[in-house]
Amino acid sequence: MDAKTLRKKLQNLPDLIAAVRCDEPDSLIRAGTLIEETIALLPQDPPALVEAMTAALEALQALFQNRPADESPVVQALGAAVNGVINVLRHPGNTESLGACNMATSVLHRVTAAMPSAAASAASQEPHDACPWANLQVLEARLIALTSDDGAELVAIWRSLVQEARSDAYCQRVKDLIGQAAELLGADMTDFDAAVAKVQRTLKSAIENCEHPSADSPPSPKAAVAAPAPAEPSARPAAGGTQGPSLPADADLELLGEYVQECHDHFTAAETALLTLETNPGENEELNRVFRCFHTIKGTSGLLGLPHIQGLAHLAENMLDRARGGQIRLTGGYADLALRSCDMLKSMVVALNGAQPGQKLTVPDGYDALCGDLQNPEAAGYSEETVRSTMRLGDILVGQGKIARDDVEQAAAQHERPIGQELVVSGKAPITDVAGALRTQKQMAGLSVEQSVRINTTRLDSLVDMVGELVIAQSMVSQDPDVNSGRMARLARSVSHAGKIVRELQDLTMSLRLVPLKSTFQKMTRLVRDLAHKSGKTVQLVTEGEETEIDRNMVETLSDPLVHMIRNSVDHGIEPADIRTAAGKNPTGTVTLRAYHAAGNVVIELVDDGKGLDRQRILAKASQAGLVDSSRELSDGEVFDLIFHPGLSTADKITDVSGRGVGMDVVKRGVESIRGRIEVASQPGKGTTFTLRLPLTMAIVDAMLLRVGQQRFLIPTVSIEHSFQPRSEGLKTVGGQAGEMVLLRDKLLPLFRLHRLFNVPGAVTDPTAALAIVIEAHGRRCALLADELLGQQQVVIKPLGESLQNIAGVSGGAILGDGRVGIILDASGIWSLATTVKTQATAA
Amino acid sequence: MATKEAVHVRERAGKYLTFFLAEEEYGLEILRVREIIGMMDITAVPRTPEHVKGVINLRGKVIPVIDLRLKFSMPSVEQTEQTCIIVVDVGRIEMGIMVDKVSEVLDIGAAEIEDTPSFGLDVDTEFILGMGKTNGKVTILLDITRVLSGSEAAGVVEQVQNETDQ
Repeated sequence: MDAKTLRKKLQNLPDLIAAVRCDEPDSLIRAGTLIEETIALLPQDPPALVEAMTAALEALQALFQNRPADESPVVQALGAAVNGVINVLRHPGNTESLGACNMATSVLHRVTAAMPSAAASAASQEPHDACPWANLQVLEARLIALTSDDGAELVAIWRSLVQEARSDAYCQRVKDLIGQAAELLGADMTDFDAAVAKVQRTLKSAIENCEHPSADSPPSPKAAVAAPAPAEPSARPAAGGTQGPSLPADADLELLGEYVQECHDHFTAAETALLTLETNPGENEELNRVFRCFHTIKGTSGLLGLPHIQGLAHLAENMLDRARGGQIRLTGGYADLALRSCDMLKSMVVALNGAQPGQKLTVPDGYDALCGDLQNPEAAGYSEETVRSTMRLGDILVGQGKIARDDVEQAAAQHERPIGQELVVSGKAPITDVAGALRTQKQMAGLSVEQSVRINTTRLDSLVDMVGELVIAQSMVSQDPDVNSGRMARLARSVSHAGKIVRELQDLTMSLRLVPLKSTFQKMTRLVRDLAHKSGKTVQLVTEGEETEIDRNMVETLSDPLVHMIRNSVDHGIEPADIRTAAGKNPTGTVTLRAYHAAGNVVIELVDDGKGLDRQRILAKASQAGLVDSSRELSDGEVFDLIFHPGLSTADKITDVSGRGVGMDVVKRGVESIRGRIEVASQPGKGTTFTLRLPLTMAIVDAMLLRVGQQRFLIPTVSIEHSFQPRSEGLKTVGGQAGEMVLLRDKLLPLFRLHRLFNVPGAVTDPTAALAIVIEAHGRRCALLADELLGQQQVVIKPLGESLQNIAGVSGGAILGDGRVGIILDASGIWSLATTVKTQATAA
Repeated sequence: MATKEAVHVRERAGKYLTFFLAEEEYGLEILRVREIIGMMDITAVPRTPEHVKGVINLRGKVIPVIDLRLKFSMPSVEQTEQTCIIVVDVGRIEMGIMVDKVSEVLDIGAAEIEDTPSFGLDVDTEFILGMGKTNGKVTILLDITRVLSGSEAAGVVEQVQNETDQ
């Protein structure tokens, strides 16, 4: 109900305010009462609304008590405030209107302050004598509130100054000063702030001169004549509008009618074209059509003596011309601006209907603002993007009513620090407000929706393939002896340029497969909630870096290990609330899931603040299972790694959720299947951290190229521990040649010869002349004998054609720099291959 | 098995790409042929049957290559200028077959195709569609999917084929 009454009252307000005149106290009182009633109905949030209306009421009261000669600036500010309030109520999220509303409020505050107190002026019955300089103060206030991009306001202030300079209300000296100020304002404005400050100083001295007039220059007695706008009451502007120029006295009404009709056609055409342009900015024909429409309107308006229409059309045309010149595209904010201009022109043209020659014409509200925006759309925050995305931090703060426009301008003038920081340092705004505004700004920027296309993965894969091939072809060209001969510098340059493009293309193609971890993490939130509930603990999951991207093929594989680890953390890591409290910890356990990029890897950390791993118990269990040699001192890392050993559970009781150890081998296998690594760190009583290091994408693997005979193989670097040249005293055999071992730092490792496993002819047979490469897979280590290492490189993994999928020890192929295929070996496959072959060999 | 019947009822007339292995001329349904490429470096794949020569890089794709001579238990010969790889499309997957020399594309009518004569148990005729007789020449028309599915290495082929047929 209240909202309805409020709306009704607000609707009536602009009319009443427009009708306000100092010499009609009734109108003032009516408007004042209505504003008072409205304030009572206004919602408390945002507070700027109530403040705006209160300021309006105060300004109205001041107006009533002071009766200045020209009430129009006050009435204008009142109108702006009321319109701002209406707009905010209509579109609650619209910070732009909120900003406008705040702007009006601050102007009103200044107007009120500029007018002497009611008590002082009440004594005086001669309003103009009471405060002859009120107009100047209003002008000063407007000057302070002026922003560099508000050209229309600048012109308006200048005009008023010129008018005031001619006013007989002031002594000659003041008039001169005002004239000076006007001149300054009209002059060079390249250094806006300095120029405005200068004008302001001049104006201030003019006001001081008024306040303390010299004896030899008394104010002119003909003060009353100074009142501008001598028009008859019937020519008062209509609702929400202000007075504009009048229709020329010699206007041809018939011609005017034709003009209105013609304009209508243009508007329709322009609107349609603008809407087409918005979705398809490349349509030059449409752009030309819009331009022609505005151009014709501008021309005919000028002919008919309608400067306000001509002016706006001219400004809009300028912007369209930039679009024609290809400097901007008529989308987003620019399209909004063009459409708004179209609307305003339309409303002005409509207002011409039935107008009589010599009659004052209405300039709609927001005319000046729109002109300002058109003059410099970028400065007003318009761009090809949607309008909101480029809101400036200061605008947001002012819009939220957290800070005055002045303070923002001052802070912005410092130029030394980012504006937010400046505001905080200078104590103008609390840090929380600035942070909030920054967040809002970020959200607004995020509003511009990214367009995406769904694409068939096969096509994507073949694109990746083709690009991979392009990279190889490019490297073949760049390694060509002819290119590198030094005789063809230009060719070499072109080739290296092409190389850069190809590399960028490759990066881009790779990124096509990436998806953010967000949805994976979200699933975990649910999991933690359920697990905590089940085990009767209070656990919260904190996720960080959800936006980290990872290959979409890996996301699915990753989810299983994560579930296992989180289960473990919640079930075994986090203690029940009473134990936590007793240990002086927060009763609510925290599990943090964090993802970030580091050194070309995606790192996922799972941190719990639980009781940590029990080193002693793990060791005890492990030696019980015969996994460790009890005589040797193990490092923490080695001990914790044991939990990934299948079948090793340190849990006292197996719950229905999990038992530590059971499942952890699954975790390790899962992570390794996507070529990742896992590490555990733990501190007793503090908690456990699992760190997963994953490659950016599944398709690429870091591998070591090695040669065996004439063949080359690749082994993923993840599985390689190190390589060394065996010495004859380190070589041991079991059962003759059947079982070979190599001694490495007092540990015996089985030694497998790759040439034997893979039947490669021509390989080095003397182990001391070859290289032993220690690989690790599923916790087992062994050494492989190869002829030499050719170097490390990143390769794209490809299946060996679908028919050669399941070859033991081979996980795929990769195209090497020379265009040939290299075979990628798989560490665990080699282990099982080697052991089965050995068994066969010994059996035979 | 649906596949077997389908093969037998299938219209055998059509265009065939013919190639030589030793002195014998073989024909391959032209629709199966993706491209013919000259010999290139073949990377051997360990632990595969002898007739699997290895894999090649076909514009970024890794595909296996079968030496058809070895597959048909013929003696291996030195590669010549004319040795080439025919890339065939077997259901969903591509494979290369290494042959001595590619000859021509023959249009063989139904009347010119005879059923395979039986050679007894010594010769496997499973993978022969029929014998084409044109201009006094005899061309052995191969059912390439069968040729390749016969090999252990290409065990998947049949499976893929079945899936495609279903």
